[in-house]
Amino acid sequence: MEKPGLGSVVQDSYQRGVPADALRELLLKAGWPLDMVKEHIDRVYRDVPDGKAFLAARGLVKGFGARPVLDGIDLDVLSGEIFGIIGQSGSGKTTLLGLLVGFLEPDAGDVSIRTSTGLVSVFKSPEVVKRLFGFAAQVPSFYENLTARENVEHFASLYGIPVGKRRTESLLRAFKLEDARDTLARNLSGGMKKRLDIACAMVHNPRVLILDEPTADLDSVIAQEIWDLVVDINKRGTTVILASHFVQEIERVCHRIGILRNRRVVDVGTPDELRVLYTPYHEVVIETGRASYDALVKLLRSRNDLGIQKVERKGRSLMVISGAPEQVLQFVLRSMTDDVLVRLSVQRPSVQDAFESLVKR
Amino acid sequence: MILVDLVRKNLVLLARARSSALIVILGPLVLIFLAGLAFDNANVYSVRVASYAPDDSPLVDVFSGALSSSRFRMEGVPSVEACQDAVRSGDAHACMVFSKGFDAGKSGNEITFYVDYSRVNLVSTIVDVLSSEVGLRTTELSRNLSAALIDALDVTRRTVRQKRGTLVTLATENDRMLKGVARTRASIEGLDVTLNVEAFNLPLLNESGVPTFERWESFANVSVPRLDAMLVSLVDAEQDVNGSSLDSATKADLISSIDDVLNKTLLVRSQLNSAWNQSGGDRAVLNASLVALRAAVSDAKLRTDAVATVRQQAVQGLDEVKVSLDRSLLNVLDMQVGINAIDAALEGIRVTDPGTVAQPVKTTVKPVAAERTYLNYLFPSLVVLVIAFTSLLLAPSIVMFERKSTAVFRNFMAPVPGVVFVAASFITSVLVLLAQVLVILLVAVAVFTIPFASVLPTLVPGVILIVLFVLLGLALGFVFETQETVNLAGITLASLFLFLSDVLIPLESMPQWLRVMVEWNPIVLGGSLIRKVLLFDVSLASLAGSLAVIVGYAVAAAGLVLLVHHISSKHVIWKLLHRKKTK
Repeated sequence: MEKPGLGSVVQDSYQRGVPADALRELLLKAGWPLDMVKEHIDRVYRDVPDGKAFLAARGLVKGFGARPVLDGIDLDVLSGEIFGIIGQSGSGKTTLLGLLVGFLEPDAGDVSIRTSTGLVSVFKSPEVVKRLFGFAAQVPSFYENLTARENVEHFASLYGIPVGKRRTESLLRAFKLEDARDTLARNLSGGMKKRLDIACAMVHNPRVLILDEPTADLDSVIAQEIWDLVVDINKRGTTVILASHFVQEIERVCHRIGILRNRRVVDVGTPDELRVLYTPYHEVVIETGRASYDALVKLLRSRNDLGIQKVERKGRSLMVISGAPEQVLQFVLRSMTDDVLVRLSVQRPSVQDAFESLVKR
Repeated sequence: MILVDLVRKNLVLLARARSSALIVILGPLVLIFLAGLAFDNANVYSVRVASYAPDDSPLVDVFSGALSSSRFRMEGVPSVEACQDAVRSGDAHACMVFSKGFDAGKSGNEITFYVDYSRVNLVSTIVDVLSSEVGLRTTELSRNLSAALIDALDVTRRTVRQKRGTLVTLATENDRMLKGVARTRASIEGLDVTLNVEAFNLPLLNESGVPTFERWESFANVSVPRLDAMLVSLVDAEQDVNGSSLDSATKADLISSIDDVLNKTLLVRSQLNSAWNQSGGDRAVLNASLVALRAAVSDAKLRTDAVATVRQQAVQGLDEVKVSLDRSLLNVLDMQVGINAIDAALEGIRVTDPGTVAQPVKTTVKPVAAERTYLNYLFPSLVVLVIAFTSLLLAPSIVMFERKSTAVFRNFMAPVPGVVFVAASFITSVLVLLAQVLVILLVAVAVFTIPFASVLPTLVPGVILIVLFVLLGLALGFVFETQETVNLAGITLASLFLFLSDVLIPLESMPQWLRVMVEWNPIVLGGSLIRKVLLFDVSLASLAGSLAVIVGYAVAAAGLVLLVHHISSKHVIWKLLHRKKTK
């Protein structure tokens, strides 16, 4: 039989911003059965089921002085997803992130989040927002002269979370920082710094993690580690909103992407939806044994019925962008008489291509 | 709890920022320790004094020797210009120029000092010490001169007293002489030297041509007694003249005349006797004797007339002597009055000590505190300066640590009001400052001569000053944007407090309008408070007024901090969000 008051304890803890993990530990220590704890925490903390809108921006307008930055942004972020915002440099991605968490006051419009008590404007309930959101800005935000462990403990203390060695160690381990726990943050590598930054943002187990350019200045290997970390965080139930100009990377991890252009979110969709939307062409990649394509290129360009948009050499391959990929394939196969075909593939262009296509419009 | 964590974090960060820790925390401690060692004495060491004297004299040597034998290095220079140049070039701290002919007993002795007032911290001490040393020698000189003057006055007084008796004797003698003169005059005037020839009845002897015996007898019976009476008178007169106070010449003249008359009278008497004895029967002889007698009488008559004339002259002479004596007596009496007045005046001089004459008022400057080293006088100001400078550098630095740290964004993200971070910076700064002041005071107790009992009461004004200056430092931290500008602002503000205080220049030397402002300077108020508590053991209760003023400042500063923090926070978010990596 359920001990009386568990529901109200969980509800109260949720409203006070106590992280689910910390609450779970406390309740288990207090002797509550695991299944009941899990049930209540899941019910209260996961009040917005995955796939339902958790955060909604409507008519957001923001300018700095006479310079308009955002003009009429409408956006929904679904619970449990990784939502990416792409846009050119200076398009207002960071400003939009600041508005979404209520750090910046909009000139017009509102951003609301769904909580257990209903929709709440982020601008009217900053304290609620601060407990629900974690934010990792482009520049890692921690004390360079504190160790990784001290940084985690410090930021945990700001959220009123008891600083326990076990919890700290668990967090450091989750972010692969256990070997650097006593290293001053300034001496960490770029990737470790980013991980520490995200760890600090996750110290209070937020509902939503905001990441602004999480892989900027990182090499591809480290960047991949960070993306893996983001996916892992998301899998553990945290909604992620991120902004980046690395479109190729974003399209690999994001469930949905919003494209910011001309001060507006011009489209929102899954990566595939965006590819289809912005690039009705396909990419035909051809690689031959001799890798000599001059004659083939001439032939392709002489045919108007193949719907060819672009022919471009990429390393040992030849890339053909076409609205009629099947005809292109047939033509290539027929034309290949004196060389060995090593590779032949048809694929959709990347979101990067779609984005570039959009930008060029 | 959060506040404690934040303060702990601030302290850790401060400790790990080694350069800041060295400059901000250890710097003031080292500074005050060195200052303590430097000023823990009461002497002026190695002060060089250039001196120029146009003429060599013993007095110049006295002054130069006195200064060089104390603690000055005296260096002679060939001219006034060279002397002044020595000060300008820094070769000498002061220049001492003796006036021409500078020597004891001469008027116009003057010593001129040339000092470099731009060395404001040293000049007062040098002027003070030199003036004191020269004043000492001058006083010695004055004392010697005064001693000579007083000795002369003493001799005069003793001589006057001695001679006053002589004057009395002189007056008495003069008076006696006057009386003698009067008596002599009366005697001489009463002297009858008339010779009545008719009474001799000489014609009777020749009445018939032949004198009769009866007539002769009649004549002899009349004349002889008269001659005897005259002789007696003449002898008396001679005695009177001898006993008179007439001058010797007059006396001799008078006595000679009287003697002459006496001799003649004796001759007449003798001749008369002879005539009488010889006339026993001889008429012829008698007649001859009578003739001779007649001649003698006539001659005597002439001589008595001459004596009468001389007597008259003597009386006149005595009158003149009397007038002179009267005048002389008046002069003697007048002189006596004058001498008495001098004696009274000398008697009225009560100060007989040369030191008292040379320096009628002695001034002795004594410290009201027991200790006499410069450190005791400087220490309160040093403590306040350390508080001011360190607070105005440390507090904005801690704010800057926070504002310029990348962590500030995450702090802002946390559900902790910004004022808590301000409070943490405030408490951190106060703790560091408090530790510094404690260490300073303990070092002062251990190494210098500050009594331990004064340390705890000193902490009260110390803490209030720390709070005030830390709050001002925090305000600077929120107003300025970079570590460099905030350091500059902190140093500027601290210097402003320093220059507009009584640490470098005494309040009394400032214009009135400025002094009124400077008196309210927290460094002046704080220095005064700590000085009173530390050196004079004044109770804190009696200093409540000044303490309240500084508390008022602190409250105003706290309001200022909240205001500038609020304003600066408005613009911080956009900057934080758009902060990019610079590398």
